[in-house]
Amino acid sequence: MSSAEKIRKLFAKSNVTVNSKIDDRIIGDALTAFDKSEKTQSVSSEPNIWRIIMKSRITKLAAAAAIIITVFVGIHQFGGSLDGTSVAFALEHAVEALKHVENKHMVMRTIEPPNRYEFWTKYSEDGRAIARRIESPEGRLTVFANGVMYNYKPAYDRNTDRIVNEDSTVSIRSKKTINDPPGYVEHMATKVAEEGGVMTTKFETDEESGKKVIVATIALKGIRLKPDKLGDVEAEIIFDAETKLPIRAREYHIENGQKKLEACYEFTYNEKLAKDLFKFEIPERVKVIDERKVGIR
Amino acid sequence: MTDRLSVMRRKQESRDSLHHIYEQYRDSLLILAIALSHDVNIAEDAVHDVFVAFAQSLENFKLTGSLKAYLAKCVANRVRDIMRKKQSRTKAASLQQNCSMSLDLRDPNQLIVCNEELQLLSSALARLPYEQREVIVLHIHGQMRFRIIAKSLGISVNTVKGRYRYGIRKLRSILNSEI
Repeated sequence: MSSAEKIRKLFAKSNVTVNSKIDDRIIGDALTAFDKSEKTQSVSSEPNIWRIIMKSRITKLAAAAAIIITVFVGIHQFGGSLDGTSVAFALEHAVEALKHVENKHMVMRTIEPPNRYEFWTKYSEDGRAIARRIESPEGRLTVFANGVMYNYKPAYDRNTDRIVNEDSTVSIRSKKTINDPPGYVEHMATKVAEEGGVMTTKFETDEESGKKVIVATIALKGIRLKPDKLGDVEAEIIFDAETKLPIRAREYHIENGQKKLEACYEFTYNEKLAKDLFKFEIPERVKVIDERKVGIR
Repeated sequence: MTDRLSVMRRKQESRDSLHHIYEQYRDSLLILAIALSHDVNIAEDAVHDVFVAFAQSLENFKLTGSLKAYLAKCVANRVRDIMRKKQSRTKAASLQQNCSMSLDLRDPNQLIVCNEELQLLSSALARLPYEQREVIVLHIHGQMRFRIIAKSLGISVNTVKGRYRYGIRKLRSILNSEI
């Protein structure tokens, strides 16, 4: 009998006895997750783009890279070695730099499907995100300010190419905080380290602006690209050498040796924002789902 | 009212399907996870996480192949993730060492108890590098073709075949001394 045959027979005879506590835990949690996803979909069909973005590796990497880059720059400037004090100092320096950003404008373009998203975020003096506007394809809009978030999903009539207000929805939720760097910074740096990322950096002169930039490339191997698919990820983040803030980023997925551009990001900071950018007026006749009243998060 | 009833019915059907899928594949997925990790706790966590994620995406789930193979791939990937994190935390030198520190699969006080064949199999597989173990388990127990495994792991078919061949060769000597 061949070894493969022996293994096959052992697998066929393999058996487990499972305590009902295991079943209760797994099926209980799965059904709870299912109910939660049902509730979310029925109440608001607007996808939470920001959650998608924050889950996206590039955003996490961008913030983590900011720290690593600043550590690198800090050590370079102070001529120190990799001792704990200089690293801690540089880390603190990076967090402080991000805290001093008043607002951030990010444009994200995905390749497949080809979509464009725009994000504006306003920060408080201590670096907390306090207001946000997200413009998504097909006129979808999310506005968060003063603890309230509005999700507007317009319904298009394809024949007339007009919005049908009666079929459009606005969902309103209470939301106390927005998850955003710099609050995430340390967590993200740890995450990159945990994933075993390899990072290389180089100084360059940016062809577009003529400014000195730092190009950081982070390579991660064996990353989950889809629930059932592994691959490599490469992220290229370009930092302004002076401000240490990321200005552009590209995310690539590498499957079977083929490098494929997934998304491009552009960041600008401290723009002059329109006064009503974080205001939302509910259009007439749209269906309003006020989740604050029914206590749904 | 009719709409609400229809939604409730659909929801109940989905919950029943989820229950049914769990009962149908639980043992097979746990065996796969134990064979990969040689650790019942990791196996339980991996199957748990996959079912929770599966339940979350059930509404929009589109199956293109076999559900069993899909879940097997997800469990294998989750086991890999958990082991890598555990390895990172404990700063263990290799996945191999991680396995040797696993719990006693024969312990009747465990919530998952393995029979003799699974204990033997898991112990033998634990002596292989994780990459070889993964390919053998997915191919033999998961009944996945080399091409599918290669695609799922993002490596070439020849690499998968090589890992399988070397793994089987090592298992031969291990099993010959134990069976």
